[in-house]
Amino acid sequence: MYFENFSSLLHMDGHGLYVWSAYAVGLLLIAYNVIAPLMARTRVVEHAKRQMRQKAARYQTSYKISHQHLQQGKVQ
Amino acid sequence: MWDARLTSMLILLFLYFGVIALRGAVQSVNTAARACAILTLVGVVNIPIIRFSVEWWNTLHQGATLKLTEKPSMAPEMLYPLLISIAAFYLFFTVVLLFRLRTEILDRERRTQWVQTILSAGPKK
Repeated sequence: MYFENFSSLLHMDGHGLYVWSAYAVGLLLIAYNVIAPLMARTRVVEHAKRQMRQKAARYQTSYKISHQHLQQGKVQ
Repeated sequence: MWDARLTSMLILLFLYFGVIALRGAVQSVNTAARACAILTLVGVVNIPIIRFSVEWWNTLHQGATLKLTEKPSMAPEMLYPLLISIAAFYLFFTVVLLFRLRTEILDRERRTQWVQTILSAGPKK
């Protein structure tokens, strides 16, 4: 299977539009299926890390408050 | 003139849309996942229908060219790229599935100790 020149590869005996648009749609779908999971993983990791930081900050704050109460004699 | 395989594939498409819509419709993640699993189990019935639709109804679709028991009637220039493409798409699907599975596990188990250890350790050097 060979073609006379590059333009006949594009033209494909009149079927070029169908063939190349079918290839393009296929490539787009494969690319989407590669990129979307990678982006989802980044989002999940960022969300989990942010939750960890917020929890650590809340723990820090509550520790400081209970330490203050202890020093002010509010805790028996 | 309708075609049996195209019609059963259309039903499969509607099932996919249904699963996607169901997952978005329920607020709780676990309930949504359970409902989607039940809908998927019901939809699995469609798969053998698609597979045998060419045999059972004699509509438009041509019969099977790749058979398990006989030599395929396809030219080797077409046959080998086709077999390689089939294998490639199966492998690609498996890789993407496993990757999405790992991300999903990470998301659902993010409050556990082992996940927090991994996340605070940072990326591998």
